Amino acid sequence: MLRNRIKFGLLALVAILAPLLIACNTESEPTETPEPVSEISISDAWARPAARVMEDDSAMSGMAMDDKPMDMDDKPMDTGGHGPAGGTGAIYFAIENSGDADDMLVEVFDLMVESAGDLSDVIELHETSIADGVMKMQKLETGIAVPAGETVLLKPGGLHVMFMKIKRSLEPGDVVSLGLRFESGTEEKITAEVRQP
Amino acid sequence: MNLPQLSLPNMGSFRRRSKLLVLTISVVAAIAFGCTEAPYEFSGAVSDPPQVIGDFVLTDQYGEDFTMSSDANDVSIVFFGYTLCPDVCPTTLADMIKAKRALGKDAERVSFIWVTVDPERDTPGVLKQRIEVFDPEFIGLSGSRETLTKVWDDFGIFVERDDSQNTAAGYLVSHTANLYLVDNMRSKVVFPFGTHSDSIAADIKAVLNSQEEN
Repeated sequence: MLRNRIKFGLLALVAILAPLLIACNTESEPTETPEPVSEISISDAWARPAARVMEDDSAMSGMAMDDKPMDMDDKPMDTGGHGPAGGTGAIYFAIENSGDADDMLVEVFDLMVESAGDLSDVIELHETSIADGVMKMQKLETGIAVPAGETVLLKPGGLHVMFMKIKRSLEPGDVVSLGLRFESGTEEKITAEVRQP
Repeated sequence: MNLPQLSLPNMGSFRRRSKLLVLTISVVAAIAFGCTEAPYEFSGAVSDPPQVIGDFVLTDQYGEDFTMSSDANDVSIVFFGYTLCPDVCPTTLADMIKAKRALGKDAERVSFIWVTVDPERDTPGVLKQRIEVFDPEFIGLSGSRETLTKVWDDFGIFVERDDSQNTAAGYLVSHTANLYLVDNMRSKVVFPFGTHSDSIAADIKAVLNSQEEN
């Protein structure tokens, strides 16, 4: 008797609760248990002026090794900007992640000078650190982490986008456009004004 | 003076005497410092005693010899860096430009010198192109690693080629990022990275002024 009653009671309970649970699931799942997402916004983007530096063969093989004056033209030979330096530059900005999932800036692409064209294909994420007055730069192999709810600032003497072998010089007032790709799949297109800080 | 009496537990007397003491100190201070200015407080780190820099000959960005001791200017600001460095070096160069601007006419008495820490890549021709973007009046120095190592050592500059990074730059160079104020072949004031350009300019001015007094 008692056992039957319990069984009946349980069945009844299930019968009542089941529709409720199903209703709950179908109606509220999307809003009550959403996947955590990152919400990325970029601000205060700027770039440094940068000089396109041509390879300087005459100096390489010449006096620089032995401290004696050398014969070299005032204007080094243009070997197409593929010199050892080629010219480098840096871009800085703030990345805000107002979402609830961590994210990471993994790639910078399509670096262009607006109304001029390609700027560089060689783009890396770097971090400068200074300890006891010594500056050390490190390439960030995985990217720049942007934890949920935090703002990460790229700034001189710290995190920065470094680009090399630049195809044109950057003067104050130029506008650089670039794409940022995040681990989450988010892509942001931004512009950065060139200015002398 | 009446100092011992100040410890007497007579408060009225104490107050009066305190006032008297303050007045006395003020008068003494006014006499001591009133006529001469308070000693200048440097923003940079003052080297005491100043670090003696051995003379050196390097090559400037035009391929000409540059002899440190023959530099005609009263004061030199010396910085160590390399062309490929995109972050700290341009920041420091920009600070030098701002300090130069803040000096106004006094800037004519100052040499701004960039010594490379990457002589294999920073040839005079490369330095010239880089410097022109900043300020063509700056002096960019390169030379043999042997000569440069002596200069770095005299200034206490740490330089280390870093091949460990998988970067398209090939290799990076870790180096001391200070600015050095050199007066009469002596490094007198050191400015760490990030020192405000106005502070640098004020310190330079103070050294220039002290030269005039002597």
